[in-house]
Amino acid sequence: MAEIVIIAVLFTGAAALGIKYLRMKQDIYDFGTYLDECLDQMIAGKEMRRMDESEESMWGRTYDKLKKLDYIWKKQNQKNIEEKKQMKELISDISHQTRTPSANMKLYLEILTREDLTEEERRQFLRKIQLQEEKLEFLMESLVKMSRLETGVLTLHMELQPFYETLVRAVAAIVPKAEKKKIMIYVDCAETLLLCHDRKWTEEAVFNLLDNAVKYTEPGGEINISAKEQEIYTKISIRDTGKGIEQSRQAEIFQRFYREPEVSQKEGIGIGLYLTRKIITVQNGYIEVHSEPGKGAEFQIYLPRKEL
Amino acid sequence: MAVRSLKRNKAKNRMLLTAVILSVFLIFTVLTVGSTYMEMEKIQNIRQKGAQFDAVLVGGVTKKQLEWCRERKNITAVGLQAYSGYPEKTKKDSTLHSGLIWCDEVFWKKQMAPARDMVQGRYPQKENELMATRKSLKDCGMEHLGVGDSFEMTYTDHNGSHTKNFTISGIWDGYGDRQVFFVSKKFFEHSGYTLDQTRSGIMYLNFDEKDLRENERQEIMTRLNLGEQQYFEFSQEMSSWMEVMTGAAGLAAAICLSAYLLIYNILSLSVSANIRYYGLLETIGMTNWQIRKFLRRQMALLGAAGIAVGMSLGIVVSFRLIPFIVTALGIHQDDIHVVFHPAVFVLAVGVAAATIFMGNQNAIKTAGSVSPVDAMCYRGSSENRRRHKIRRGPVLWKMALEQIGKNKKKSAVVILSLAASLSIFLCLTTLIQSHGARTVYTNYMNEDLIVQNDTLLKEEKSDWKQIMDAKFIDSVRKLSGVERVSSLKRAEIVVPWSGEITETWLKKFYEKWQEEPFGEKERNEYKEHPERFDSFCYGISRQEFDYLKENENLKTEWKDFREGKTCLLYDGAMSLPESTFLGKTLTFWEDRQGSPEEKITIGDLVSEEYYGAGSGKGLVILISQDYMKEMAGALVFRMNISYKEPYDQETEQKVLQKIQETPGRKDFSYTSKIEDLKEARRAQGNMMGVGIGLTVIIAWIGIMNYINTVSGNISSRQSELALLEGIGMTKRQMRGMLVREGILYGLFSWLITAAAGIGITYVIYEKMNSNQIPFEIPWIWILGMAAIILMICALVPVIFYHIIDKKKSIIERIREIQ
Amino acid sequence: MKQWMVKTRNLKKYYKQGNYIIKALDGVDFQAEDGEFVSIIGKSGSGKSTLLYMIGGLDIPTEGDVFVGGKNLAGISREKLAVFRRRNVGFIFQSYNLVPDLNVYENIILPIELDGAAVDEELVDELLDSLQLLDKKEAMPNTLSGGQQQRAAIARALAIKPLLVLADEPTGNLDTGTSHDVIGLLRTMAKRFQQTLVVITHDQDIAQMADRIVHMKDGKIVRG
Repeated sequence: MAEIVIIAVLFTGAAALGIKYLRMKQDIYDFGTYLDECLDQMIAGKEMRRMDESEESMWGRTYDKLKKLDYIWKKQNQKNIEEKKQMKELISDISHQTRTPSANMKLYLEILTREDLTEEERRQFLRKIQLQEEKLEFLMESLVKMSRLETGVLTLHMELQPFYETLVRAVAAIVPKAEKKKIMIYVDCAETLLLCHDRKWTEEAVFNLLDNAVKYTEPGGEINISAKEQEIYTKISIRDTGKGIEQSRQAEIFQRFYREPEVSQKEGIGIGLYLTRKIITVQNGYIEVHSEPGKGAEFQIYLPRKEL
Repeated sequence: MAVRSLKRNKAKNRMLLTAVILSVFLIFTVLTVGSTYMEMEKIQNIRQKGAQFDAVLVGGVTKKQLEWCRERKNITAVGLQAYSGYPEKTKKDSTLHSGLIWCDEVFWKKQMAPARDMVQGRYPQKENELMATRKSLKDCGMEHLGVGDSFEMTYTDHNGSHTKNFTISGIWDGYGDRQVFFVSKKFFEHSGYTLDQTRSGIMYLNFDEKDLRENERQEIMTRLNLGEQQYFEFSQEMSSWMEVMTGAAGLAAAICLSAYLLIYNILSLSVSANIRYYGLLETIGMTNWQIRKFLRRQMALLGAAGIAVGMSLGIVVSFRLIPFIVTALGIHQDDIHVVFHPAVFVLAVGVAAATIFMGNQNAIKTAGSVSPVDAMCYRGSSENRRRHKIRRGPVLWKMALEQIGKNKKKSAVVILSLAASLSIFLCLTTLIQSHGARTVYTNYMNEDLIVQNDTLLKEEKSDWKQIMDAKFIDSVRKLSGVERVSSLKRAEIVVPWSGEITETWLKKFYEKWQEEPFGEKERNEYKEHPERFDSFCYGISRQEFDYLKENENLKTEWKDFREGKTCLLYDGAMSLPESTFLGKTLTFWEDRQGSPEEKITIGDLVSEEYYGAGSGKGLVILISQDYMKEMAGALVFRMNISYKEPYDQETEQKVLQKIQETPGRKDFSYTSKIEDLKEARRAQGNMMGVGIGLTVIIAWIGIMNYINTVSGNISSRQSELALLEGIGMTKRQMRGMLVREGILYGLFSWLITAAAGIGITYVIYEKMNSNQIPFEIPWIWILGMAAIILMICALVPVIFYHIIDKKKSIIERIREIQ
Repeated sequence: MKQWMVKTRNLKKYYKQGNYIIKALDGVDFQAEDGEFVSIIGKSGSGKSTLLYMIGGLDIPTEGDVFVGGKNLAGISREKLAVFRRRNVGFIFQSYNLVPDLNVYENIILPIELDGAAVDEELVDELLDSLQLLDKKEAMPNTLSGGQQQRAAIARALAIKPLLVLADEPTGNLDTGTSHDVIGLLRTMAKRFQQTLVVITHDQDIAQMADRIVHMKDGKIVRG
């Protein structure tokens, strides 16, 4: 009696195993087939075959991942197209921006070739050409910088080094302008504060902000610079007592070639803030502006303390 | 205020109350069963023995031994009894079956008293006085007499036969052997018997300590310097006292442990909630001292209520249930009364009270150690580790394992509780299962029915009758359900003086059974009248021969045996030296007129006691039935019957019926396999039922513990479980994790049961295993129970999860903490 | 061309409590574009959390539709929603984020393990490093500060590389400095992996950090 039971149990066990084996084989085969199909479709850029999503199985997991991949792929393609477009716009911007000074120069040169100019007038026009030339040069430089940043050509040399020095350099560069307007600059930064950053580019970014601050602050005003370490980021704050920026414009100011309507006559081509943001973003940080009209502006740069 | 707050937290306190009640009830009831059982068993033993004693020396008592015993400080009572003859006949009856016994005052007043129900009159002083029972009076036809009456009786003592007029000085009734007349000391002294005679003197001893160790007992036996024919035995209670105590203690401990675990667990489950409550109390201005008083009062109320209810329940149930249980466990008495032991009360109350108190202290201490605000937000501490190694492996098992290891103490309590239940089950079923085997004695050669001719046991040859004649045997054989009938015939033979053979035999025999050694006088008597020394021969069948051949490693060949060339000599438990007997020729003839002399070779010695019944002083040999056919005077002593179907009730009834129809039915006795089995089954069956009932209750405690813990667990993990679903755990995975948790609990408790439970069971088993039955575990029962526990463990968490899931949505649970 | 990652259409969620009907969401049309960082701001009871949970598939609308990544969540079983979340949505809650019995590392890889997928240990270590949690890898949640716990939660949300990250008041229990950090981090990470980020908050400053702010009141979107 016992033998029969044992045999029955063994037999059932064997049968169950057998079935499981066959089922597994079929599953693996199906898996391979589906995978092939989906990959083919992805390669061809076609729509992926519709299947049940969110399945709790090996294929389900793979399928969901493939869908994700497909999506990211397509998005990337989109982005590339977008970037190309941006490139085109950049080129047209450059050509547009350079046209004016170049046209001006041409005009002044033409005038200079006239014979009925006084010595004084001649000198005036020469200076005008000089100015335009400077502007053009400045423009060229900036444009090269920008395009480098844009295309990702440049390599940042990130080093863990005292931020104080970087700050000092940027401040030193702005001191002449600030002195002229009798603007006081206060710096609060520990000399020992270490930050992982590219000195050259970060200096430039800070300089642009300081430049802006000086530009828009009235004589006798203040600029307060402080650097403080937080858990993840180091916060660098540049606060001025200038005219402030309207809420609605706070997003626009970081755009390329943006200029406040009131200062369109002053020098600058409106890429300072754009560059600054680019530099900070490339170093995995971010920049914020807090300001109310008439109450000055505070720019906050956040840079990660360690490499992200 | 304590009362009000108690009323308010109804659900929680209800649980606690139930636990207390259950624990108290259980402890009380089970232990009372125990104490009742033990008391009843004691009484039963006394009644069976007819007196209360711890040890008995049979086969004569020497003066030295008596003095020695009387001197021992640890022997509290030395009682004496002596055989003084037997009544032969009275005017009314000539076959008397009673005996004349003298006993001393110690025995009568102290040792025998508990077995007596009533005594009228007094113990005999004069030589012609008797202390009788109704039974003994009835036996000699004098049942109508009372105290003070006289009657004439002929009796035989060592000096011969006498007739005297006896007066009944007293009548008693009770338990034990009531086929007895007690005589006075004078009578005894004149009877010719003395205490130190083998057949006469018996000494009963009572010790002050019940649990003498083995070496102490050995010492006593050695010091007594027992003679060849003396026999010393400790009573059953003495020898098994230790075991019983162990078993009882073990059971009590297990129950107390279970109860403790249960109450402790419930208390600790509600600790968090309590602490929050205490914190609240403190913030509204109660001082620590006030809180303590308040809590104590609360607990006291709860405890008192629980204990009172539990105890009353226990008492009620005891009165109704215990007699039943005790009978089931093997006590056959009419007057079972429940025995309450103060210790049981103390234990029941003590355990419950102590646990409540301790658990409470814990909560108070914890509450006192944190600030009120923290106390209010108390969410239960677990031994938070700072960090642990990353675990690899299947994620659900990982998380389940982590859950158990999180609060080791709590998990341990639950697992222990479950393991205790399973272990107790294991222990009880093992013991009960084997109880039958351990206490049942099977028939010789496993025959279904062995019928015996009791007349052949009588001393007077004239009393021997052939009650099982050929016709009778045939009629039994013809019954439809009977497979085989074999009869064992016995014939009285005479063995003449045969030198060494008879010399050795008689010497050994006298040493063992007689007062005087085999001396010249006896030798001469034998030489002249060998027929006075009753020798017997039995005729056995082929089957019996084969059985003996195998069991006792005989060298004799069947052929020789069958042809009457060889015989087997019964060695009478005398350890006869083989060299003296084997191979020697034995001369004998049947003890009848004109029987021829026979010569036969002694082939082997056999020690099978079956052939020792009803012997005389002479030799006992076994010859083949075929050979025995030639002896005309052989009478059928026993009839062995096998049925076609084992345990065939119907056939047995028919056989018994046939017996009833024969004229000699009064002189039949029989042993039946069916009845033995029935008896064993009955005892076992009831015990099994009781055992299982008991275990189920205890198991229920373990399971209740588990359910409680798990429900509390799941309840406090609500948010966590919701979080898990939030980050993507499906319900199926959730269930899987919870089931695994349950399984882990179950498996761990299996582990502990296997490790400790089996070991403990084995120890207890061996202590109670005087029959040396091999240790065997009823696997099917155990595996079944283990599987049930495992299933419960696995299912409970899932069930609770579903309950919670239904009640609140995920978001609610997540936000509960936020 | 931008496409939307999340879209709700006339979303309604009503609760019955006794005789009252509580309108947690009363017809909400919400959108979040692919790769966008949207913050939803409003007082308690404005329905912002309810909206978030709807998007995450943790609750079922009384009326209306929820689309995530083009899929309509209606009619998908609870089990499948869990799987969907596990693979596609990173969820960060306000305070109770980590499973208290698992250490940081185990918490982070939990969704991956639940999926039965292999864990890319290198990647996880990188993530931990970036979030400055590498030395706390084997620590238990109760030993971490609030900010660290949130960072661990972020790590867990990012470890599965989802397309959508939902955060319910992730800085509710943190101080200002830490809050800023945490959101800044989230934003940086999201931008880097091109994930859509929806954050619920009642803090104006935090809300400002987003690309777009949506204001909610009484179960409706009032601005944004």
